[in-house]
Amino acid sequence: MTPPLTIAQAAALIAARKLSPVELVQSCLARIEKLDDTLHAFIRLTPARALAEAKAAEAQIMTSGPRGPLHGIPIAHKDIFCTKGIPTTAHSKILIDHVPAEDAIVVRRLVEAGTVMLGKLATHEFATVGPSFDLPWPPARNPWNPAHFTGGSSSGTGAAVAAGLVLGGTGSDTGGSIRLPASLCGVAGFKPTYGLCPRTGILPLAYSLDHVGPLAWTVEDCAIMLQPMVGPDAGDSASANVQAPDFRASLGGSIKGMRIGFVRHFHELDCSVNDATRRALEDAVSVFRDLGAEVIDVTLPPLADWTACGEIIVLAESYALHEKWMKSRLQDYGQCFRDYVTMGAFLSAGDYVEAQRMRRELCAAFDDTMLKVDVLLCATTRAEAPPIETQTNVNWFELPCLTGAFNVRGAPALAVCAGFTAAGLPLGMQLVGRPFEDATVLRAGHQYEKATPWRNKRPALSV
Amino acid sequence: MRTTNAGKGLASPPRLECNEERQLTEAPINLGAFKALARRAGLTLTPAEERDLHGTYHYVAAMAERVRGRGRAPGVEPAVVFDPDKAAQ
Repeated sequence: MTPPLTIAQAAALIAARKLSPVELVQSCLARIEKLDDTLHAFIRLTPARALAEAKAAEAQIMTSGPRGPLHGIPIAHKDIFCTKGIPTTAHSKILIDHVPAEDAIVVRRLVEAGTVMLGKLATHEFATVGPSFDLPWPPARNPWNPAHFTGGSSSGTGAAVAAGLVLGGTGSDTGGSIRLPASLCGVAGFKPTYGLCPRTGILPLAYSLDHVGPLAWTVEDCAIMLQPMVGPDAGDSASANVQAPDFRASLGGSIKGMRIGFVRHFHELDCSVNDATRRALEDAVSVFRDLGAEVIDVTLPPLADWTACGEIIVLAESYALHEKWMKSRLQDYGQCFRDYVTMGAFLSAGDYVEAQRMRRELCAAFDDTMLKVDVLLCATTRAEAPPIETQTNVNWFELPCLTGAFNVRGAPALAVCAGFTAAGLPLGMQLVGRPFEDATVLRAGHQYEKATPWRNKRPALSV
Repeated sequence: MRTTNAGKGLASPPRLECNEERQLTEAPINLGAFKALARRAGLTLTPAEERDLHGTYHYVAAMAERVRGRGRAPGVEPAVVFDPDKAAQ
């Protein structure tokens, strides 16, 4: 079993013919065999398909070289991404027999880029809230300490990437579902601008807030994975018809002179974070200043506004999606899902329209702030990953959410590791940009990662 | 490059402190009325579910109140708009 590699490292070794895609897949499968009984990151493995794809990739690479940096790279998909002929269940009894006839567009594009699919990853039920212990599969566990929570809803992807079970994976993000597990599992997770990655073939949660993106060990790996995922698709009415830059090539530029807005009131006034998180954020400010960026405090509308707006929209849209099943099969959902989405039944049409009107005001306020800065820096979570058993009776509506604001705006938002607690659990932070300036956000995150030692440390169980 | 809303004259919403919505600590309707709403929605809830959901309903009611209570100008349209170019896709 080789030590965990980044996508960039593996791609370089594969291109130099020093690493076989078959050996790489076998190494991941061996790590899965060793660790996944503890981590529960996968709800379905596809080893035969993975080995066949790896052998085909190896043969093609030996003949004509790699198609690109993802050729022969093992990844896996959150189980709301439809995969042709392979069950796609949303981690739910409701869809336990659902076998899609087609791949989701981004799944197909990642196949065409040469990735090798190892299987389907755990999620909170239908990408909502969790952890749930009453679903057909157990919730994923945090590789830094399996007694702790992964965050969600892309919980399996966060766990699998952190443990080196895969080199990258897909996630969706309606209110933080890429960035929360990325932060709590100590990996990079990128929610691109709304509409940049088509959602065709991905089970929806809330149409006007759903985003799709990658999680990987580094920002560079996220940029590599993102590239083929981006591009218009007629099947997604929100799909943006924009020319994507070369995200990986954009990482290398200096951030000297970049204006970074520190949204201090989010974590000091609106939703207090613990001391370790506050220190990590202040340290990050120092790192960015040392890199030549100009960091200033900025003000956005309070988190409670963003949270109220986002939650009303999520509840209304998700309830509309699930209403038929909630009337006929309510007890087939897990309790977390029921407790959360049922609330949509008690909203009015007026509530939804007012939330969408408020959204326009909030977007205008965000854009006004972004006239002064290029990137925002703010907290992702209130603290490191809590023990998972403390998360079984959470009131989802009690505290404002630190991530949902950027779903409301549809802005690109990146979660990166910002250090570790004394107990060795990762801390995270967010970098956010203007819509369609995804490359700027990735560049800031990449330069931060290069200037800090956090990417040198892997979970003890994975090495 | 997409244009943004900046400079289009949309006023930022007035800033409210986040704790304001927490002042609504009880459901604005009693359990009986809540059960009636659930029935009207076509949901079949157990008595325990009715009590639990009613116990957290005030948080959602407070958020709904927050998105409504602004004296918003009639010209502020929803952020999700009808696009005839994409309507049939």
